[in-house]
Amino acid sequence: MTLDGHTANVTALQYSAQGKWIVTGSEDGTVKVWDTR
Amino acid sequence: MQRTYKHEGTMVNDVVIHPNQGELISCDQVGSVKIWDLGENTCTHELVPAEDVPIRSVSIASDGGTLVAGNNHGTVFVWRIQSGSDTPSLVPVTSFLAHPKYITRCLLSPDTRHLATCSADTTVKIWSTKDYEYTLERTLEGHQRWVWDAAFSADSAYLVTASSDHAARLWDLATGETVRQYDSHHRSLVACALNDLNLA
Repeated sequence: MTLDGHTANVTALQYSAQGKWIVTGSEDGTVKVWDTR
Repeated sequence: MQRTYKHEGTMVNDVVIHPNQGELISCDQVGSVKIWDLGENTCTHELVPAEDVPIRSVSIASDGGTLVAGNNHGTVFVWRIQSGSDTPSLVPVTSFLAHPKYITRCLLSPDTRHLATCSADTTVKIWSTKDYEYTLERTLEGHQRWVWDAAFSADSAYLVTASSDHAARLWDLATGETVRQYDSHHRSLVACALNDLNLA
């Protein structure tokens, strides 16, 4: 699985408790929520 | 990709999920901590404890009761999270100078009783969270360069740390001693994680 969308370094990542989604932070200034399914 | 939340004009350094799975907490290069409500799809709080000083790391307690942030001046900020009527409120509890250099990571233990702070000063400090006093219990010395990341064991008794000195260390927090070194890397280590939850 590749999650495309950030336009700069990804600095942080965490899985939700059940692994169904991921949150990422980036030097592009955004926090993104991704569906892992 | 489902959602995007913005820290306008700056870089996001860290993001954590509230244990209730309904909120995110992120921090940035201009010293802001933002709380995002996933249900309302909005930023519900912005905390700026020291303007323009980058915050590299935030940590939330496993019981959702405490939020901690660490910045480039080596200062730790602690807020108590109180569940209000609709939105929770964040009450500043204390702040203290933990290290003389950047804090790279701050991490509350799974049992919420300790806070670990990792620093560019090559040490990791373990603080007691009891009564919100944050007294220093141990300084973990041994890494030769910046410590970038740490992970507690599930029972909060051990800490794994990762350093630019090409090694990871396993620390016994009861004694402050390194009990294992993992040093066959040839470059800096910047992240570590521990899976000890399913040992049968």
